[in-house]
Amino acid sequence: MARAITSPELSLLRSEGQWCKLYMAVLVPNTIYTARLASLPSSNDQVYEISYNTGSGTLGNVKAGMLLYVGTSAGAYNLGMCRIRVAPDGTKIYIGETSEISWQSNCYLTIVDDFDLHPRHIHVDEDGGLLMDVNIAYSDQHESFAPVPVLGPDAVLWLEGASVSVDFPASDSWVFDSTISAYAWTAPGSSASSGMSTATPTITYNAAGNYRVYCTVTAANGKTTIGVRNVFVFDDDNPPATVFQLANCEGSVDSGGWMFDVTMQAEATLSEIRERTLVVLFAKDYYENTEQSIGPIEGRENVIVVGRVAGESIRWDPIAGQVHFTVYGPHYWLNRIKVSACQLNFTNGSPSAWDQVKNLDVDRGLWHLLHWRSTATTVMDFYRTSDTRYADKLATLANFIWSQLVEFAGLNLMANVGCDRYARLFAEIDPQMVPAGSRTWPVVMTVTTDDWMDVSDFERVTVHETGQVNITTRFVNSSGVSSTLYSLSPGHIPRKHGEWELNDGLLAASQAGSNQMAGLLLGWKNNEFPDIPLKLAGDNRMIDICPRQLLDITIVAADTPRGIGYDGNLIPRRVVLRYDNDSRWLSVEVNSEAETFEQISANGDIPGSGDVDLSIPPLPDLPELPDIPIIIPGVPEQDPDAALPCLLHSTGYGILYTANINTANPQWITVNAGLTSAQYTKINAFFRTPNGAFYAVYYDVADSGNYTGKPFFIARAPSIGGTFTVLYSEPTIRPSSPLTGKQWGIFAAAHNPLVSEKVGFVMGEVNVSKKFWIGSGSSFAAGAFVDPSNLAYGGLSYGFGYWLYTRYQHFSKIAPGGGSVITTGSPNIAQTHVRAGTTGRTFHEHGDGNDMYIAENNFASSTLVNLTEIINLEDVFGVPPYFSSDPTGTYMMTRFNTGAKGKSSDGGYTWSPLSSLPPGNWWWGYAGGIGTASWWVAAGGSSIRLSKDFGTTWLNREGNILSIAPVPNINMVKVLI
Amino acid sequence: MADFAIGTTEVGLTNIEQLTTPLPAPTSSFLPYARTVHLGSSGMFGVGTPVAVWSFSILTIEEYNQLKTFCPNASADIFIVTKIDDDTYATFSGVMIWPNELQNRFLGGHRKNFSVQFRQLIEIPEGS
Repeated sequence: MARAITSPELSLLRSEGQWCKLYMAVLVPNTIYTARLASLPSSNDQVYEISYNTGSGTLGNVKAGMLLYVGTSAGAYNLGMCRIRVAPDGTKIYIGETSEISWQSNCYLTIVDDFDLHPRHIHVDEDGGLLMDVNIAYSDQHESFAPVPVLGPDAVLWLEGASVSVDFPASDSWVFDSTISAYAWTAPGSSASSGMSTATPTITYNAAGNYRVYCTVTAANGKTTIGVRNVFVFDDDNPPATVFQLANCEGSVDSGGWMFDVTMQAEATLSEIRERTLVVLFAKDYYENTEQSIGPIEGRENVIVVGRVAGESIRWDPIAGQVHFTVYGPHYWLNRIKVSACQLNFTNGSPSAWDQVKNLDVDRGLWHLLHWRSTATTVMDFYRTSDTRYADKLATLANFIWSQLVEFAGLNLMANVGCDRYARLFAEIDPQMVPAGSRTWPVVMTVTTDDWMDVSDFERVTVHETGQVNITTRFVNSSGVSSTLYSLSPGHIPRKHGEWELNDGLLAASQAGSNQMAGLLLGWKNNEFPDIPLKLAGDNRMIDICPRQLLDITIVAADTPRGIGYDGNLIPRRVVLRYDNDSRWLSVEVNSEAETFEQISANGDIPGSGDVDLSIPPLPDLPELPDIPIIIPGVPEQDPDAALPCLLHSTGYGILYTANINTANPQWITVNAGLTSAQYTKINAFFRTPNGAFYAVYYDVADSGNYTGKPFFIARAPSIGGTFTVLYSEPTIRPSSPLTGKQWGIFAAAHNPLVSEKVGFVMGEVNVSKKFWIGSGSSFAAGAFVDPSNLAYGGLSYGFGYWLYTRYQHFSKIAPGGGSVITTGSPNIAQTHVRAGTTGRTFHEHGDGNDMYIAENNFASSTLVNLTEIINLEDVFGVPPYFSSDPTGTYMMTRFNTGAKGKSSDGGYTWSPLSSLPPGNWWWGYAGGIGTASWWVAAGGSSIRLSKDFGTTWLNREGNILSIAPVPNINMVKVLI
Repeated sequence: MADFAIGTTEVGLTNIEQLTTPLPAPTSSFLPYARTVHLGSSGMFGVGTPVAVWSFSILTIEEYNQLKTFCPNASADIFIVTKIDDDTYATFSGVMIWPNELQNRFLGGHRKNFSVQFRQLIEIPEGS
């Protein structure tokens, strides 16, 4: 991590006469094993293992991740290079799947200890199953995670005495959902070592050379990962390359890392600097004539940049004896490793496939890419964001690992992925998007006029470029259920100047968090000082583009040619190191942006909803209109690829949810957080309001003789899968002196689908305090007295401008605000009812059973439909109605006649059996679409079916239900459309 | 006799007046920094390695060639003893830069106003 410069270091940086000498360590890998190809692969395509003979060396020293040269002569790689996938056995070498090597009979195979970044390809087996890296089937890799070794950067040592030592600090190693339990280091070629089973070993060398250090990191969950780092040891007799010119040495947040150009003299031969050779640029620094390097990492202060040679920039000039090449950090190479698109999905259960990740968040997505799609976690340090926002899914169509990392981090968290000078990878939320109180990273130094050269000329942006930030974020709860949040900054009215900044898809922890992000983004977009360039005179390598760090500066207006001052923190975005060979002076240029802060923000608007009731207002004074045919409002056709979230209720497991029932294998999860099993097993109503709040209700009534067995309640969660908070429960409603026959309870509950969140319920003690309650969130108030009788059971809905409460042989038409009862009546109806969308049409079972009432305009009129067969919309009170209607009230399904399953396509006047459904106790839910092409879900017991043709045919949608709920006993279904 | 010395190794340092073809003592200048830069505070800041310049008002062809033996190409690694700011002498390793100029600029067998520069000087502490 970054650190602040110490006072003595600052004195040295400000001392005159400082200079440094540059060196370059070029990795010449050691040959570990040699062999010849025993037999040609059957094809050059998709080769992942080869047979060999005439092996030489110690086979046990070959490790996965090493490099295999394939050539026509000993040690050559003119036919290609590939990765050792797993350690060879006596006859075969197992390699990363490749099609780029033109294998030749008896060609030379040379295994060297060069650990590079490689892809790990997805392999499709004969059954179509996905295998990672040729043959790794999914078992538990996304639930019991492999650790990430964080071992520190490569090291360069200078042997001046008998020996020289290096430390490897590995205590930043990490693992999801577990802890690091062991470290096991090996250091071939070292002369001594200590602490080799700790996180902080010391390794000693007594001879020049280049060495590999291995550490197997073990997690408490039993998983291991091996990390590899390089140590270069030089002495006066074996010096590194020193005669070269350095140019274009810079790193930037935009590019994601560092690079430099080198013109090298005769010291480096072409064979040493083959393509992708590891190069470490390092220095001996002198301050006040004393050799001392200053850098952020102890023991690595002399290292300037670590990277690998881009082969295409090698230009050999036999006359001048020079070679030119460019060295790039890991960001460049990861951006050239082509891989397939990636989608990962959240699960809070046990993943069963490579595309599922337990408790998916951005870090886990990044880890998957780095660990399973590449060899990155072995060859480089990876620091995660440590952000804990869940992601319902992470998907990218990008073709390169780096692009995928950038998309996962940037599009979901506004985080950057970047590599520092040491080739360490950091995923970090951009500093400007972190609330000010959480900006805990260090101020590297306070830059004064004694540090920078000349004058600083920077622009001040005085006209806002962004007038309004409008972001749509998604909150994903611990069940993986996503709800959408909307935020504005500064609010609904944009600033006087500036464009709209729209952003869609960021993860938010809450509505407040979403608003905060909008405010931070507006502040950032209107940065008054987006680029402050500084040329620092000192050989200062403490400043980098990552990890996150700050500079503190006070620029007095009089010191700048434009008379502009600034006093605050700077965030480095680009760092350039310039080296003058003549004077051996290394100077630093830093481009930074001023730190910005959160602006005011507000809740955004929910598209298609808002807080305006869009229903048709009541028209009480108009004469009754004659019957007119139902005009089907614009119900859209169902999108065949629509993702259809669906809810079920199980009497054993509570609420079950799938994000998409329109898939062959829906993944069901339970979403009962915050409720006891005594509560969630009794739920008999649930609904989601347009703003995503989710209500669960156990409506029932009690009296003095049975209330201990009636734990009725109404509870609210901020979203499906969120943690429920019980709003009201039996004890809070119970009268102080319960009387036999005087029942109390929650009689019915519903919501207004046309308003973001407005929920009503009828609650209290019959004939005493049975009132209509209305509100949202945690704020509800009692309105009108309802139904002054001793009868209890009922049902409630909202549509056509009113609430309608029904119970046996009674209805109450309640004002939309709940303050008054407009009309009551006494039709011979049963307790509950079902409404067609938000129309005025409601369906009621006849009070004497079997037949059906169809009411219009909240019982302005009604029709009794006499059926010769038995029809049931509901059964006993407390059991959810079976019945479901399309929004027009034309197409519907419920229990009918023999087999108890039927449908109507004429508003309920005639019915036909649903013979396509197997026998069972079914509940139905409308799932979108029109008429005979409408979609429906039928569920009951352990069966779940989806029809896309109004019940003509049904598709099994049970998915994983039996693994979540072995005996589901489903008794309710609702499709969220 | 002055203490100016030159050699291709530290142990080979020889007073220039005692070389095979002795050289006259040069007029020397010494800059403790290769260059200076302006700071934001309006001050100056010296950066880089010291630079020394030896200037000879007149050299014979033999003396010129003697000096050239230490730097047959455009530059050469070198050790020198030269006068520093406090009028004392110090030993340095560095790079000798031969002036990039046309050859045969001799007049009457002499080369007038000839200067060589020593850059990237690293002081070698006495007794090391």
